[in-house]
Amino acid sequence: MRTLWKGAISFGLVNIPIKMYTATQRQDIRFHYLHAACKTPVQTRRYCPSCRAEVNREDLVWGYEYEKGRYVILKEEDFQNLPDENTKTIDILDFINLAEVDPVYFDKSYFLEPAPGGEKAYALLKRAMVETGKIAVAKVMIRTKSSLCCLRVFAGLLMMVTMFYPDEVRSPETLTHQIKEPPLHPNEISMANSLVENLSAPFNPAKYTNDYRAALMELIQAKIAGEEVAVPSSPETEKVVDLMEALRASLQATEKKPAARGRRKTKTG
Amino acid sequence: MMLPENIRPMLAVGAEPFDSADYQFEIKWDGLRALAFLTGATRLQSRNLREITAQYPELAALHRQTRRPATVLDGEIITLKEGKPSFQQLQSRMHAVSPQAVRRAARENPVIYIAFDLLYYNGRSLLREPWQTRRELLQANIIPGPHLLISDAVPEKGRAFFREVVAKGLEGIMAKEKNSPYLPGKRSPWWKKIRATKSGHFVICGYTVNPAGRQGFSALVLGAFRDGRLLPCGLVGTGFSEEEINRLLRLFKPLVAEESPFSPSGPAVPGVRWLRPEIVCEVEYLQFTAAGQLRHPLYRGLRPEVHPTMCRVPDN
Repeated sequence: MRTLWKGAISFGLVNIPIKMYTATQRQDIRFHYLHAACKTPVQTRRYCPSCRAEVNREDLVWGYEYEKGRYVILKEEDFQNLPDENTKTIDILDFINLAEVDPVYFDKSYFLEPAPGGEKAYALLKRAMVETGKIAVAKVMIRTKSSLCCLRVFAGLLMMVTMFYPDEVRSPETLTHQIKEPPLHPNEISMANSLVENLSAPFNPAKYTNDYRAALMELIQAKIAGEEVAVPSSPETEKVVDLMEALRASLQATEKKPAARGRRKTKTG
Repeated sequence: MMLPENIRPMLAVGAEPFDSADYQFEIKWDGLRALAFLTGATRLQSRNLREITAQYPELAALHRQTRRPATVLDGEIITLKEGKPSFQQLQSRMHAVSPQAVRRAARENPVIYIAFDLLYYNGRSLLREPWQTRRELLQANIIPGPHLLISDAVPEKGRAFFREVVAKGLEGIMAKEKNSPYLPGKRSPWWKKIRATKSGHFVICGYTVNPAGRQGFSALVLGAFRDGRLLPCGLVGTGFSEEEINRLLRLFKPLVAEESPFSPSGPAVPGVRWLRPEIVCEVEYLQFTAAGQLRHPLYRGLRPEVHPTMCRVPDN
């Protein structure tokens, strides 16, 4: 796996050198835009509408739109004078209980691996977190982005999970419709509770599979092989219904004819 | 309130056609017995407790057809050929392994689940309820659809129903005692199967080749045991798909033998290749003759769960 970032966990006077790797990966099937006429993948070019010309990467600067159409320009040097830039550390602030954090705060997960020289301190921090059952809240600066994050133990490794700052979590008051609590009958509540109980199971992530992606991939494979992509056929279910009805009808017909009647009913079983 | 991991299906004893007000009669669906566990998803379990859900993707949404989840259905997975259940056609579904093969088979040969019993409903066990009650709940709460039907039952007139069913070319009928509980894993006289044809397990002892006939083989040489001796039981030459012939030939390769496995070695069979008697198959037939031949034999598939020594020579 490719190292994403090298830095250190800073924890009081202790510095633990680590390497960081992404822990999750979306498995979406990606498509490219092609020119329909010639099937060439199209390119994205930066175009300046006022100079009516294409702009090269080295001629780009960052601008912040502080009011409509007005920009303040920021250069590399400007960022370097900010606090925390270039610290390359994950600074632990507090140890807390995982259950106190609502999942809305969690963003992306990263594996942390000890870099040479950091093994012992890494093992100690991990052990202490397992024994106390706590996770660490920390701040990290990766490139030009400062993130709140937490450190926890997962699959025998320290894991960093970036988090949203509280002002990045939207308030439900911004919803267009306010939900009013309708009155609920105790019977309805107990019925709903029993539905939940009936479907309660231990969490087993392996049982959830992306069937849509598998079907899409199969369609793609069929196209590569030059096969016609067949539409699923439905079984002739109505023929079974007809069969059962025909049997019922012919049974009734035979019952009307005394000659076809069987012997007196016999006790069986 | 969780459903059991698995349930062994209740089994029936063989019987001759009869009339009885204590029984209800339905078609004996010629397919694959399967229990459907309906929760937030559908899980299918075979008769020998194997999980077969992935094999039948078109049945993956059966749980949307019960009014309440935590429901278990007993039934049969069938495919249709000319409007009738065809076990032979279902074989292509049973042998598909890779997800691609499964999906292709599902497109070409879609299945229907025929539900005939309700074992759990809304998390509650109905195993001790009488058959009649279970059947009423099944009809009231399970919603039929393109891949799910409820088996029809008729009262009392088992003989007439059997005649009609046989006339339609179906496998036979089932009789179910109206007040009987569901006995998991038990072969009980509360349930009776009445077949138009007989079927038996035979050891494959060889195969015949006809250079003028079809590719592969023309018939299987069958055997079964009586008093510890392996005796010839005739040939079966119908009921094979091309796929099945190729699959069998692959299985036969390591079993080729020089001599007949029968004791005594039995009659000469022209164009025979002998095999070590290790593979068991099921064959349907009308009658086993005094001369040791099967009348109208039809190959039904391999029975890997049956040991060769369990195959007995049928009665005449």
